Amino acid sequence: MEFKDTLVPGTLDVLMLRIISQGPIHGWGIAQRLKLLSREVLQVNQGSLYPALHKLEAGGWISAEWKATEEGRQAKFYALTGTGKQRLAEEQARWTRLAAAMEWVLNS
Amino acid sequence: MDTAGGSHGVGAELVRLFRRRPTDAELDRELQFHLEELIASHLRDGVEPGEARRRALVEFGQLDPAKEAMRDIRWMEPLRRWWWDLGYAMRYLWAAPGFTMAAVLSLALGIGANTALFSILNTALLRLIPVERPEELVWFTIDPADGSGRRLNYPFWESLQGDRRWGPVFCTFATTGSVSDAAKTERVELELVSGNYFGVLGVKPLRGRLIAPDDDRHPMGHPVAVVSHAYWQGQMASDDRAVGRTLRINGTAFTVIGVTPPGFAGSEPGFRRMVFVPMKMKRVATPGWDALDKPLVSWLQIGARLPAGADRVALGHELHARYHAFQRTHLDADRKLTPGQKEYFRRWQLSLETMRDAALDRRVRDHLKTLAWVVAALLALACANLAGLLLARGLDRQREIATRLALGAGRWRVVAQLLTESLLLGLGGGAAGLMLGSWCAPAIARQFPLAGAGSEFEVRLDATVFAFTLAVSLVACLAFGLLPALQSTRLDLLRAIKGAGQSRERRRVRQWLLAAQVAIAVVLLTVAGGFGLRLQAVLATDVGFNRERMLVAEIEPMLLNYSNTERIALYRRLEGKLHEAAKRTGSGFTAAALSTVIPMSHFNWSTLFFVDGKPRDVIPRANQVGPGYFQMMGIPLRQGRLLDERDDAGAPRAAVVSERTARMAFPEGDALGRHFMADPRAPRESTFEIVGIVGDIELNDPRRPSREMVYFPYRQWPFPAQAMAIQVRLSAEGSVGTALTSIRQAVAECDGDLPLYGARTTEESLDMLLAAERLSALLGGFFALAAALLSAIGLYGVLAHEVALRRREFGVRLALGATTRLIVWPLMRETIVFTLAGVAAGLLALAAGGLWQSSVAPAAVAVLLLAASIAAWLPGRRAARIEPAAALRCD
Repeated sequence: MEFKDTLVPGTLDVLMLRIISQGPIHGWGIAQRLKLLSREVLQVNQGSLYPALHKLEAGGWISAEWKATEEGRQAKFYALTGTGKQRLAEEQARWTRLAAAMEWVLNS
Repeated sequence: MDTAGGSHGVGAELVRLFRRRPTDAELDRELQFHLEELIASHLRDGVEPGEARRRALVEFGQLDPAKEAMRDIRWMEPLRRWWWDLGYAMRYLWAAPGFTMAAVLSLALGIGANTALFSILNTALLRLIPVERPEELVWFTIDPADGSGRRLNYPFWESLQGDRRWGPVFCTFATTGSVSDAAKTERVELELVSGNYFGVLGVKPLRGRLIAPDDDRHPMGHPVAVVSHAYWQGQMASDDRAVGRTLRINGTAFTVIGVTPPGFAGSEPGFRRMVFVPMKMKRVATPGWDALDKPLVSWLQIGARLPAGADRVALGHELHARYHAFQRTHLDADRKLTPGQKEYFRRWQLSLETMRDAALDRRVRDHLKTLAWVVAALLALACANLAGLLLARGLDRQREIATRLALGAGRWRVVAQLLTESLLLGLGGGAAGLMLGSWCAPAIARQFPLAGAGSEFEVRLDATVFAFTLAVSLVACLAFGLLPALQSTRLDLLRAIKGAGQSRERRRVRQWLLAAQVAIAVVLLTVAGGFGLRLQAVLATDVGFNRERMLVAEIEPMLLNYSNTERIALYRRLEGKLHEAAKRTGSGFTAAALSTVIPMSHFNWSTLFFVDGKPRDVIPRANQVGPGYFQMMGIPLRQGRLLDERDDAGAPRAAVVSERTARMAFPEGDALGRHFMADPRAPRESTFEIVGIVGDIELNDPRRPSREMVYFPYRQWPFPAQAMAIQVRLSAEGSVGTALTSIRQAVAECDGDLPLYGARTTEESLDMLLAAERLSALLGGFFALAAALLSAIGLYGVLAHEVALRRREFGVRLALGATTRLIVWPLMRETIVFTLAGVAAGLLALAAGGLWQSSVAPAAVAVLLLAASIAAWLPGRRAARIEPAAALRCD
């Protein structure tokens, strides 16, 4: 059994925005992408994923559209809006700064 | 920048403002997609399907059912919930265009057929002529309708005036006449009406005034006319000063006194009368016969407006007694009728028939009633077919439905969702059916003059038709939607999610549906085949003359005020030209003749038959003919000679009778050479020698047995006839067009002003005559084929779906060495059993309904079995061709 970390609170939004920024993607894809990019360290279950996605959608940072997947199945695809891009840039900068700060402290 | 509909941009922002959260249904779909992807990922990792599903469900985590329930309570507004369902249903149907198209089209066919027939019935039977309280109006009708129908006499009508038992009683008679305006002369539909006609009907004038009792007092004393709104708009170009203008009707000047309101065109629905004149002016309207003083000449239609609350049947009995009391004195006093003819009058059964029932002949109504059953059965079949489709679809959606149920949605919630989809399909099919029906119905009404030749119902969409279609659509969508919805939601959750496939019971339901479809199709095919056979039998009836390739056109010299001698001179000249043209190649015809009776039309004359001053017991049909008539018609000579050029005006009067006439009037067989008198008014001029006997024919209607005939040379007939029919036999290479040009040329050479009208082939006349039969055969046949096709498609759908579902299983069995026969046969066997059960049920229904036709039913069964075999063979072949490896790889 491998060890899986739970997400640091407050980080899910920015992680999802980052993944969505790479092109329209459905919820399942986001979860898979997160697993892959974090080298299986970070995982999100659907119970947190979808409410978070809908919150982002309601906030206007992402938009959603029903489209066919490569296999021709209907799925809800999310894409970044203009304000979403802005927010991602801000958050990205903030988290990079924070992570660097953490590393300095922890490795001092 | 995207527009408002896009998912980005200002528009989307606005949309988002109003949409607080995704709908439940949308959420379900999103979660379901996630769940399925999860399962698929496990499968890719090589986990067994059952285990993959189990694991996925565990990882996915069940939503708290209590939370779900909370959500249902929070959103109690059922309307709002239904609104979500509607959106979901729309997206769902949109995403399955093939299924949606198939469903909507088959429904459209069923609903369209019902709408078309209903709108015709609505116009012909339900919507009456535009007068005050039309439901109170009745006709005095003679039963059994043995040809006399509603024909009574004028003295009887006069005797009823002052008697208020039947309410006010009016009378009317329709005919055609020549009407000349300042510019042109036309043949126009006339209606002779009693003075109280418009008052009793309650028609109010659009312009001027209508005919009143004071306009109908003295014979030939009231040259006034009322024109219909259509005539005023068309022929009079909506002239503001129409009232006061003069119209010449058959040469006599009439003053226009008023215009009827829009839509009013006489008292018989389906016919368009243009000009109304007082009854007392009858001698002008029908030159040559008056009969206003004849108690035993039957021609007049009598109608009444019954007092409110009157007992129609009882009043009918009173009328019957009253008529026979009136007639007895006249019958007793009459010396021109034989005892047999008097007996014929005494047999008459009089009753009161509502105008609504009278609009269409009973025969035509029976045809329409049968057709109504046919279209209802077609709709039932379409519904059964759709229910089958939906059940199949329900199987495909088992996982989706199971997921939704598992996520805590109540069963009724899902049923409502599924019904919403049916509702959408039903409304879609209804809309398409309404379009189809409203497009077909007027065309059908034009093609098939149901109220008789020359009639045409103007079929329009109205609120009644609309409501009917809506109701039919709603009933249909419940009928095909409820069963599958209940079936699909009553499932074993675990089995369904595990993909264990369909339950046996559900397959049974589909097979019963299939059997029902087959049964309906058997009945429809047999009934339609019966219609077709009957029509064919009528068409194949030997009418005694050759009615192939015959063209008829009419002239009416009366329109140009010809005198009787001028008329005969004109005919003689015309005959010469036509006979010349017939010998010429390129004229388009090989023989030509004149006669006053048009074959296959309702128009006919009868004559009395006196021998040695005493009437004989026969009332033959009379026809005035010119030389060459029998040769052109192909009527064979039995004895004596035919009429020819020597039987001209001034020559000894000679006539030809048919075999039946000869036999009935001269039972001793000595008809040839005997004399008879046709009209006691002119005993000398109407006495003819029988110079020939010809074969029997039925000139007017092939459905009736042939009648007695007498043929007079028109040149020797002492009374004026209204119109003359030019009849020609088309040559083998001659077209109607060339023949018509030749005829027109011949007429023009005789009188350049004489119009030629009513050109038609005898086949066309026959088509008009057999409108109801043709309608039944054509529509019935079309609907029956549609029914066979629908049930074949249904069968194919059931089997193809079964094969697709069990592909994996078949693959395994094939891989394990099963022969294709072992795979395909059990699959086919059940289908065959249910098809045969359907056939048997259909045959039983035929026998029970008295519709059994031994000449058609086997063919109907054969057609269905053939269709069923093809429909079953295609999926069977697919099952046999499954490649085990491929089948196993996919799932």
